Amino acid sequence: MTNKNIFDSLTPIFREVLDSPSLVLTADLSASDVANWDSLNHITLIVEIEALTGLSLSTDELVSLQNVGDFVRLLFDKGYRG
Amino acid sequence: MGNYSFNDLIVGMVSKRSYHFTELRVEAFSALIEDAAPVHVDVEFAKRQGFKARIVHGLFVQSVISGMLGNDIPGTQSVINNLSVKMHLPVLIGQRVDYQVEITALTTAVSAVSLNFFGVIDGETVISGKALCSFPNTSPKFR
Repeated sequence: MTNKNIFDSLTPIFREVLDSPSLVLTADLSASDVANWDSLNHITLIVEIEALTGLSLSTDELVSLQNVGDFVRLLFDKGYRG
Repeated sequence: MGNYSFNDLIVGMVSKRSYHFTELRVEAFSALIEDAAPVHVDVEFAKRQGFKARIVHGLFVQSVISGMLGNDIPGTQSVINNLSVKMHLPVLIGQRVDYQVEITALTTAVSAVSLNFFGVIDGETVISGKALCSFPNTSPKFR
């Protein structure tokens, strides 16, 4: 349930940054699944999510992520609950 | 010229420029982007619209910010990701705008730089906004 809260809180950011109003975030969603998810938008995503969560992420943490599910787990592990 | 790496930057760094929107420059910009809208090139038309003189293209006024971001801070190693701009007042041909750009946040994980900017004429704000810049090849996507 807590992870659902995180997905719900991230969804508006992903939709706006990726200009995809009907995008549904799933655990296995990755950049290759979304047309507008390029390197510039990826950076904007991270900046917006840090602002939302108040967390500071490291490059090492981001390198290991494969999909949105990994990212949600990372946020949860760092104390974010959505 | 600001040849900074991301790690050289700190919150609060400021860049200032003053740009004179001369008739020659505005005419060159008008020709360059093929925008000869009468409010920019016809003084009588501009006056009928309620302006004291022809007005400078809004994108020209904004473009100075691009130059400051790419040459001063964050500098030559960076690119612009996002730019949100509000135009507060028209800039008339012949006026000089004093610009300032300031770093407001650094996002280390993706080497991203958040900045605020504004431009004033005699203390009155004519343009303001926010920018997000990054240093290319910094962060992998989720693949």
